[in-house]
Amino acid sequence: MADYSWPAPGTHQTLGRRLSRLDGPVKATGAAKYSYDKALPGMLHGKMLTCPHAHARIVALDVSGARSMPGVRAVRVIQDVGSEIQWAHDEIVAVAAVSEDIARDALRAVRVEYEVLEHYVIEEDPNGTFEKKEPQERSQGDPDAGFASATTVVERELAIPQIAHMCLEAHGQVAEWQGDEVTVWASTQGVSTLPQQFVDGGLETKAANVRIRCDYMGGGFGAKFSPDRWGIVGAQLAKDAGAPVKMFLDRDQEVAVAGSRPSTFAKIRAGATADGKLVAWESETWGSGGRPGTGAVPVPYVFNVPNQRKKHTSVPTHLQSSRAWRAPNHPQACFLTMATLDDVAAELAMDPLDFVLANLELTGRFEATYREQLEIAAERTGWRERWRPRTEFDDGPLQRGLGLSLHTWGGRGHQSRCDVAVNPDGSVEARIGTQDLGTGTRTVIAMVLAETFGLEIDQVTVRMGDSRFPQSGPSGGSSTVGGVTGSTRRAAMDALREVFTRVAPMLEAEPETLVARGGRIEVDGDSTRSMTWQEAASRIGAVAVTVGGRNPGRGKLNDSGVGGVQIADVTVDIETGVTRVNKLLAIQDCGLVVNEKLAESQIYSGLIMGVGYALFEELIADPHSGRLLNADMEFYRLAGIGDVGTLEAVLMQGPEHQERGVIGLGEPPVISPGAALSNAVANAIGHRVPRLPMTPERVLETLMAAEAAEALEEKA
Amino acid sequence: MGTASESSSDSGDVTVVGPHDRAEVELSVNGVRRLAEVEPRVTLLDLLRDHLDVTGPKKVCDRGTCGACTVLENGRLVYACSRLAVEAGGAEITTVEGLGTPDSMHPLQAAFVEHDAQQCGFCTPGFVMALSHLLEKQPNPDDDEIDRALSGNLCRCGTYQGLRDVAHSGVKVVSTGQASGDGIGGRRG
Amino acid sequence: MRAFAYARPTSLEEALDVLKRPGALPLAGGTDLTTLLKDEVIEPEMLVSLADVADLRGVEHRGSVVHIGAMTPLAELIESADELGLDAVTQAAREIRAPQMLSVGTVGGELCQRPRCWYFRSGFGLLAMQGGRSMVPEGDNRYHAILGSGPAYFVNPSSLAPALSALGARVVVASTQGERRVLIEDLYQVPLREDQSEFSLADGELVVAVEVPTPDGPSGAVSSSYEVRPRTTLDWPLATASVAVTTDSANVVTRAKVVLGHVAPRPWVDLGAGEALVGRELDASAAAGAGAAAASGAKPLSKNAYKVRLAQVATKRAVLKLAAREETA
Repeated sequence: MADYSWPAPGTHQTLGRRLSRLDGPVKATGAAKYSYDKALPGMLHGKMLTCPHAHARIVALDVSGARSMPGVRAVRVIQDVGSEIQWAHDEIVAVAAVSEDIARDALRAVRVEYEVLEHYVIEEDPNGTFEKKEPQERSQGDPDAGFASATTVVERELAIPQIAHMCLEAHGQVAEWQGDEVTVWASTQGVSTLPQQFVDGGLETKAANVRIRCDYMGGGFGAKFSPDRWGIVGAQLAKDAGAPVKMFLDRDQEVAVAGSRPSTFAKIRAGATADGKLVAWESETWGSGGRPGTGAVPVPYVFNVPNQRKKHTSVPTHLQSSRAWRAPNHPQACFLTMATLDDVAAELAMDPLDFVLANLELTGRFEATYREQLEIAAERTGWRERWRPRTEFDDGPLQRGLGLSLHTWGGRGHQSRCDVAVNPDGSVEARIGTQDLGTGTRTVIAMVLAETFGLEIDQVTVRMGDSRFPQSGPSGGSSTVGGVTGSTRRAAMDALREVFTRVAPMLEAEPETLVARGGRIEVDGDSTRSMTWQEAASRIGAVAVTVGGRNPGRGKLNDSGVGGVQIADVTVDIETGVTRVNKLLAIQDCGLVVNEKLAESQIYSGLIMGVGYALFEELIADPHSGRLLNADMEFYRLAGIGDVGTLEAVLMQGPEHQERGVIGLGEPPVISPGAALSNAVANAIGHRVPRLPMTPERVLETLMAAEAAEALEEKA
Repeated sequence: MGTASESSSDSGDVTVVGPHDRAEVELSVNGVRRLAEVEPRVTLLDLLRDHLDVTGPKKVCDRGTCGACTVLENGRLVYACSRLAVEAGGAEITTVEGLGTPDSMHPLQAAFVEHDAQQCGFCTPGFVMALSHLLEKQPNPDDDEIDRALSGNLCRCGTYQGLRDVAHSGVKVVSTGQASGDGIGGRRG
Repeated sequence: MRAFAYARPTSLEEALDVLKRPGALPLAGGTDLTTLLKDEVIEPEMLVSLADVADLRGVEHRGSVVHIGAMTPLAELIESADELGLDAVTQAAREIRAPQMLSVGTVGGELCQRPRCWYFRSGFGLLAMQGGRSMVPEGDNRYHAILGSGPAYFVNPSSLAPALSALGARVVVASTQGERRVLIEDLYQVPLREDQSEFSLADGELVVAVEVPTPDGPSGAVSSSYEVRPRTTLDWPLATASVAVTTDSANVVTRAKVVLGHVAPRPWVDLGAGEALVGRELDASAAAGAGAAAASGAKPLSKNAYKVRLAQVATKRAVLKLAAREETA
């Protein structure tokens, strides 16, 4: 039985190197054709009319004006008379026309009458909802006894709003029929899973007739797992019109219907003993992921407080259904927990680092990891010298603060298949039904090939982004890198063994004694008996050696479960409420690092998105109209380059990490920034800003409320 | 700029292009003369992408905020989504494609690759143009100059660390787009 | 966007003539106008490009004023205003940031851009009236007005207007009937009905220039602007303050004008803050006094009490910048 493993630590040829991403040059020169850039001969432009009301019933619909407009080639009613619309921007009618402008003209000619129904979009007060859900309750230990034993109890109300994915490439696709077969160039996180979903979604064909392509994509973050209604209708319009149809969402649609993360509101009590041991946790949480509501987030996060009582209520709203947003539920749980713990430490007049260390045994499996990470983080930030209690301030309006947070994630590789072919001319290629979201998937697959065959990265070819290739899971939950490296490594090792078997006689050696290294095949330990890779390949015969590999499979190539620690260093202007990030430090555990440069980019990326939701990002719904007021990139604020401070990424590396195999890195670094930044701001200004994002108005409101409370106290 | 349609009307001495008339717009795009006929409402970005298949500039916010559509128009940095194509008639347009090709990258583009200043890459064309504009004037910018020069561009994946490294890398940018119509050959910097 | 006609006159006379046509709107840099068109907030019949109109561009001394052509790009204004000592204007313009905006955006366009109020941009109109009531007081008004008493709650979006107003600038407005000059702050009006504009311009009138009085007197008027913004990147200010003062030889303020931005439907000339400065030595204490006096009478809405504080802090800091300048001079 063949064994599958990574080369022993210290013997890697390609793994771990700081190689540049393979698709870097095509992206940096604008040559990369994203699905949104696809132009086909005779291609039509699709656009959709959406509902301006958050809750309404369609009572009349007339598309004749659109149908008769010159340049319009197909019209489809998505939701007809009688349909109840559950959120603003829900799709009503789609048209395909010779230009985008004419498609819009056609939509303007559609007449829709709505019966406007009552809506509910502000979940802050959960009692207003139209559909009361039963709360879920859970407890462990003896919460009452726990609180009774606590000498310090902190009560907090915290909140984190719904935010958007805001993929720069909007959702959409180009669909082209040839006979009964349709090719869809989609911006998707799942080329292999989309064909069946198209059929399930109502496209009148067989999954076998649906081919999905995605060479490059402009961001997904968990929002692009489905063909969506516009995908189905886009393909239908193409069929109706007998011409390819390009259908991408406008930005306001993208924000309003194509991706949000659920909110969480919380009332929390946490109790600790005088020596700083956490003993009790009680939380009442609620939140919304739009129309379906949302489930509970895993609080208390990371720290398994012995006595807990938790109640969660899902609150449906007339807003889009949320989608998986990078590390689903973790950033919310992390913020609620770490902010509360930080406040408990402050109440105990303890350094939060000491408080965390005092409770580290509650973290379970990763206790030792966290301990090591906290040590590194403290040293790198000068925490012991620089941290000061919340009660101490600098002169002037600028106040500096430090905050820390811990997080965890799984990251096990998903199901993946990969075909690896060695051609007689020595060329090597992998064919795999996966996609590169910008995380570097293409590059890591190539690196695994190069490592296995002892070649350079430019000597191998990766073919991906096509549902005709062996199926690989959708890219989500940090599952891709483990999955695709697993399937590729297994296929490549088997292909190499096959090559060894065929050339071993020529080297007068047993196949098991051969190794591929530095562009040659040689007898391990005897480099005099060797041949070039090209020569070896030329001996395999006329037909390529093609081998399939899969993940999961035999041998330990990947693992799950990581811990991470982050520290934020901020300066808050207490007169304006403006927070500036000085530095964000991430210490991350992630198993075998395939490409150090790309791994660091993933961490920076997580930190930057984290700054976004900590300081700026929030979907704002209008109570009157039920519409989003900031379905744009102007008042839905992403962090800019000047807003993120200095970022530092530390990957935990060494033989013990490498031996775990590959673990996904997409989610973990985005979990802690909200909590770490919130704690840093609290440390800077002396008070907890109870709600993210910590905009100037929220910081000032917190300070003004504290001033008012102090004034009241003085009066009394 | 001329008009392709006969139905254009005159208002005094001023030529008026009717709402559904097509105006002839002649541009130099990356040194190549291009001709298109578009209604007045067509933006420079749609002209480039939908009419000329120049898809380096991206449509993202489409409201002059995110910078993914950034191009040089006669040496000025502009949001192509917020310019009407008819307004850009006669202009020299330089897009990210005008700097280099995958096989022959501009040093600035090579620096983007080297410093991994891109992930999904959708914002990259805009950042390349904005940085080229800065570095041409100021080869060794400080952080405040970098922040201002890139303040009209947004990235979602989070490539700012790499972008700052590129800005500080000392890469030379010479003449990526010119105010007058000569010297296309100098574009490769 | 809906289709519209397009004219590109080459002289002001021609432009004014075409602008008389119903539904005609002037097109300057277009950075705001294209957005309004795409959102279908406005639906003009015709755009009149000012790109080729001679003599609308440039900054120069003309007697006792600095004349700034309406089509002067913001980037050019920043360079020239710096030389001319119009610090409040330079500072305000620089904070618009994005080079893509500064290159194309013009002085006239910046002054005549429409409010960013999200109810207005969503198509609910300037007053956001529904059923006879404004949606703003009970809606999300975190960025709305704290000064002025309704019924308009949007804030004037211009960065330049408060700075120019502090310096006593006037806009030159032209039409086929001739020219008139109006104080910057009077270019704007508070609409009382949905069919009224936020500009005091008549149909067919065009802003063609701004005239800023040349700093006069032995010490000259010195000015500064301070803005509070959430991000360093392209963003809208939460509040701004522009201050212009004249001081005597003892550094005592003899004249002062303080104008707040993003707090009212018009640039808000803050008389109280100005008065608080007169007779005071230009120092930190005077700055604190002006700050405390600023935005008096503010009536914040449900979500924007913080803006009162920001207006005060912006005022204080704008004065502090002047005080620091006096110290180093």
